[in-house]
Parts: sequence; structure tokens; C-alpha cells
Amino acid sequence: MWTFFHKLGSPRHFYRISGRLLPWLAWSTVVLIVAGLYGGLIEAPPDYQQGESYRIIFIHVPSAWMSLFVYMLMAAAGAVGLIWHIKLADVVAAASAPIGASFTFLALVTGSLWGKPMWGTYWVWDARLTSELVLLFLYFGVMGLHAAIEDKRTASRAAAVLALVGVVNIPIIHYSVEWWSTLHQGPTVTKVDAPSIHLSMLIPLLTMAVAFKLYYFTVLLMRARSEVLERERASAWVRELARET
Amino acid sequence: MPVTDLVLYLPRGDRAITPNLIESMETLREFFHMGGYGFYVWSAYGVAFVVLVANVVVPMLRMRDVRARLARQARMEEQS
Repeated sequence: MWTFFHKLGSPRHFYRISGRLLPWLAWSTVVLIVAGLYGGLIEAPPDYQQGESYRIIFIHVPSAWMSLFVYMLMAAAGAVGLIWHIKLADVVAAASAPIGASFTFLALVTGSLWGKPMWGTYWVWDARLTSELVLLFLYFGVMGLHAAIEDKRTASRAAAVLALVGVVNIPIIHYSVEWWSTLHQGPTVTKVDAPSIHLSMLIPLLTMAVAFKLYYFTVLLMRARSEVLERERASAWVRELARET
Repeated sequence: MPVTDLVLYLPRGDRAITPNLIESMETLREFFHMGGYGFYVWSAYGVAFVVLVANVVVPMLRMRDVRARLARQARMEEQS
């Protein structure tokens, strides 16, 4: 059993296994995105209050969920790298940062484009929006540390500390709509109750959420693979691979 | 002149197809119009498309560069 986990940490095995997983992840992502978009843009009826503008939800909410999910994964990977010095954990943390930042950016921009017609404003400094913006800055901080520090181990250590300190922002973002009076609406799905959204809208929403998760893993593996090749360029298996090309 | 007027100017033989074509064009127009919110909805989906595509293309290019560099290094080592 220990050998299994030990192998998982091996860059060579990671490279091989991720190579096999990638097509499956990529294709299931595409299929689910198409299904989700069809369900959301064509099948689902217009909202009785918001009309067609609510359809932004199918991008906005999955992006927001992913911005939080990726951050937790990045922080966890950072912690693993910090505690057990596993290189692959550092790679996953570093590779996750730009993807998480992209999702955060998307959540903010699509939210803004939804807010203008519905609330009458592109932006408001309420608790939900502000804390999500802070999340974006945290991601930028992690990316900045990786870019600024030469030695990869030191960079990963510093970035991990930042990511871990920033974890406090995650429950703040999630509960912001309950703890403060916000313009942003309260929880519809992630609450201890039946979701207060119609099934015809919930299903494409959840489909897109799963699709975005698969997308994240696809893109993460792509980034991690090139990073692993570069870091391990001196090793025998990489040289073998390079000779084959 | 509304789109439906075109029906009068088309040859009789196509009458069976054209009403559906007009309807589909109307539905497509409504799809883009998004009940008046077209700008917001399609800007949102447009930004999403760009961001998601970029996050796929960038790692692909990086991998290509890394493999090219590694191959070049391997060739140089073989020569020396």
C-alpha cells in the first residue's frame, strides 16, 4: 500500500499515468460542456424575474465554485510539499494557481456582466464580491512568488505559506452572504436544505460544475506534465523520452 | 419590411420549407437577442470562451517548447 502512494509521488509514474488519463479527462470535459450548454442555453426556460439574463449563471456559478475548489487544492498541495517535501505536490500547487486565478477572474467578470442589467451596477463593494476579489489577489500573490523567486523549492515554500494563510478567505467568501447583508443573493444550492432552483436549471448548472472540475484536472495535468519534464530533465527516463522525439 | 414578407416573394414550390425557415431564423435571432440582454449574456460567454481556450493553448505551447528543447539537448549530447 505504501508503495502505491510512494509511486504516486514519483514524477516518472505521474508522467506516465497522467498521459493515459488525459484523453479521458479531455473528452469527458468536452461532452459535459456541450451537454451543459445545451441544457442551459436551449432547454432551460427563461426566468420569471430575470428573463434570459440569468443564463450567465451557467458560467458564473461553476467558475465561482471552481475558484474556491482550486484554491483549497492549491493550499493542500502546498501544505503537503511544505511538510513532506514532495516535489510533485509543489508542481501541482504551482500549476493550479493560474487556473484558479482564471476561474476567479471569470466569476468576477461574468458576475459583473450579470449585475449590470439586474442590479444596475457592474460592481459593488459588498462582502461576497470584495472577498472574491481578495481571492484573486491571493492567487496573483502565489503566482508572483513563483515568478519572482529563482529557486523552485524556496518559491514553493513561500507560495505555500501564502496560500495557507489565505485559506481563511474561503469560509469568508462562502458565508459572506449569510454573515453580512449583501447585494449578492444568498445560497441557493450549497446549503443545508433542498436547492431553491428549478430542476431544469439545476441540472445544466451541475453538469457545467462537473465539466469545469474535469476541465481543471485536464489543464492541471497538462501544466504539471511539462513542469515535471523540465524539473526532471537530468534524469534517465526524461533523457530516454527526449531521444525518442 | 418584416422577415415574413419574404414568403410572398418566394416560389410556390418552396412554401412547405420556408415557414419553418422563417421560424428558425426568428428563433436564432431571439437566441442572439436573449430577451434584450444579449450584450451581457454573450459577453459573459465570450470572455469564458477566451479564458478557457487560453488555459488549454498555453500549456500545449509550453509542452511543445519543453519537448523541443529537451530533444535539442539530447541531440547535442549525442554529438559530443
